[in-house]
Amino acid sequence: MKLKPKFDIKHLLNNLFLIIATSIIFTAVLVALPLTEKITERTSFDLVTKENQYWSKEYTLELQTTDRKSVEKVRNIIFKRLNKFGVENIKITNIGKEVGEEEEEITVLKVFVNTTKDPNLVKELVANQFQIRIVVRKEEVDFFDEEEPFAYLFAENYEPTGWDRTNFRNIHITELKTTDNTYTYFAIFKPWVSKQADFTKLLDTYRGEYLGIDIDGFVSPYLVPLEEQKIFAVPLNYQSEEDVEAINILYNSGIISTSYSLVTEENLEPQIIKVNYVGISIGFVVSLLLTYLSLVLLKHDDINMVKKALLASILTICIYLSILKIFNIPVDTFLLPIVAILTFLLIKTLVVNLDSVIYIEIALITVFLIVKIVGYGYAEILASHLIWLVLLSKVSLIASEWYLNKLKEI
Amino acid sequence: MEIFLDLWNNWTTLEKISGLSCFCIIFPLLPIAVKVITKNKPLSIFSTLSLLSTALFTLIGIVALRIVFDLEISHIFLLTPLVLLFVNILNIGTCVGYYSMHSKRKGFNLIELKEEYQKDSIQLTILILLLFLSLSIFLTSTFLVFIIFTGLLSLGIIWFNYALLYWYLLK
Repeated sequence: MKLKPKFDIKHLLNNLFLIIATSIIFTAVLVALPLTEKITERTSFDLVTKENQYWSKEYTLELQTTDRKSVEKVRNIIFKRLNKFGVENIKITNIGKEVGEEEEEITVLKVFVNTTKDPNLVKELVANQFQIRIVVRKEEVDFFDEEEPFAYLFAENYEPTGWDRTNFRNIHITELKTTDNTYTYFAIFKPWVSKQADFTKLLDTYRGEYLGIDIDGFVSPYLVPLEEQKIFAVPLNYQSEEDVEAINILYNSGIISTSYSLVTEENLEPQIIKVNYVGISIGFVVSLLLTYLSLVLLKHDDINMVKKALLASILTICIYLSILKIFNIPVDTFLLPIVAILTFLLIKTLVVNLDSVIYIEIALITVFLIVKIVGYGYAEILASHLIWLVLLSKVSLIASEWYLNKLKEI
Repeated sequence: MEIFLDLWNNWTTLEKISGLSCFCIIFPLLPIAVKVITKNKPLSIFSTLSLLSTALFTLIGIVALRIVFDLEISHIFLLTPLVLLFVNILNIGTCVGYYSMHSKRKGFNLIELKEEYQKDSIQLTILILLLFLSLSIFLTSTFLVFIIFTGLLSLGIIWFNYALLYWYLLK
């Protein structure tokens, strides 16, 4: 009798996939666990927390106006700039009217920030009026005078051309190739359609001559090329992406026509919500196990549902934490417990109520997208995290069901 | 009232627009979605009342914290409405899902929906209680107050919704 070996390729592949899936789950759990970084020095699995990066300041601004609408406009634009830059906590308070040094009536604004963003850039966003004008050199000024080498920098040495920020619908910041084949950032001034012809005429008039971009009294010279120009692209002396982001915000967050100055800046104790990350992780593991144990003991749920929900919860949170750790994404640790609670609630609800899955998922993603687009501060940050977690929960639920079914087959 | 006026006056126009936009988009959108899915007007009204009660619960809660307990309301409390909205969507979502799947079944009645809703509410309550309590052991100061406050409000909303469903749809 000849024995024919039975070779089931499907079974083999199933087992192989199962082993790979198990390894992925274990890896995600190990990477996500707190203090994993202590086990191996080969790779860094530190959770980058924002706690140590927080700083807090209060800037005092003096506005050369007492007009309520103008003051409100300044408040709005500064808030918009800081919010776009990602400053976590902003408070701009109108202190009221006061009398300035030259007996003129002024308004005082206090700008409070509590953030992890670059302090110098935040100051730039608060302190600069960023009034833009296109100017042309005064004929009587000698820009090559060796005794005044910085004459080209000062706005008083230039004549206005009548073109300012209001004539441009947008100033687009982008990276372009230069003549020496390197890349540098440029600010491309895009005039309103109705002004395009006039602007081209202006550039034609000054072909081969210097124009200047006057920003708050300091001018960057711009040599208009001899050949016909369709675009007005001014090179920027910024290299880091964060610098460019800040300059883009300054160019495109509204026009402040009221003059103001930064009078004082006071360092404050940063407002940090400290959370014991290790303690909370232990608490969650215990509470998760207790919750599911109680559901099993009370026979509230089918054991298969409990298994699926537990596995999907662990998988979602572990993959989420692993992504944060592996890609070094800075996170506010106080948001993690909130995120974890909401994820557990979501997964448990989805597992038990299969009829409602699609409605709940679409409603949550829509609501969080709205908050992300329209909201600000921590609400916007939490909404962004939750959008990813709803999607991750969906993937985890599918993966958990597949994994548990395959386990049963063995 | 003074707290809210102070808060309102201290906000920039952009903050006011942002808050109002969230409110004005989300609050009509969810009841409209409920109406489209269930084609049931009372359920749509129930979801509207439930969302309004979420807003009301948050406002009353913040006033209570400020006046009764004399606690400072920090920026973290701006997250409470978002958490409550999340819980409310889960709560309403289960009800809508069950209704849309079973309403055309022979013998379906609203008592069945109430019983299912009660089951879901009990589950959510157990989960919220255990998760928020286990977390509270490791927390201190403002964050502890925030977690207890948000947890209690979440439970309040779940059971207010249940009462609302009972009184509005079944009585």
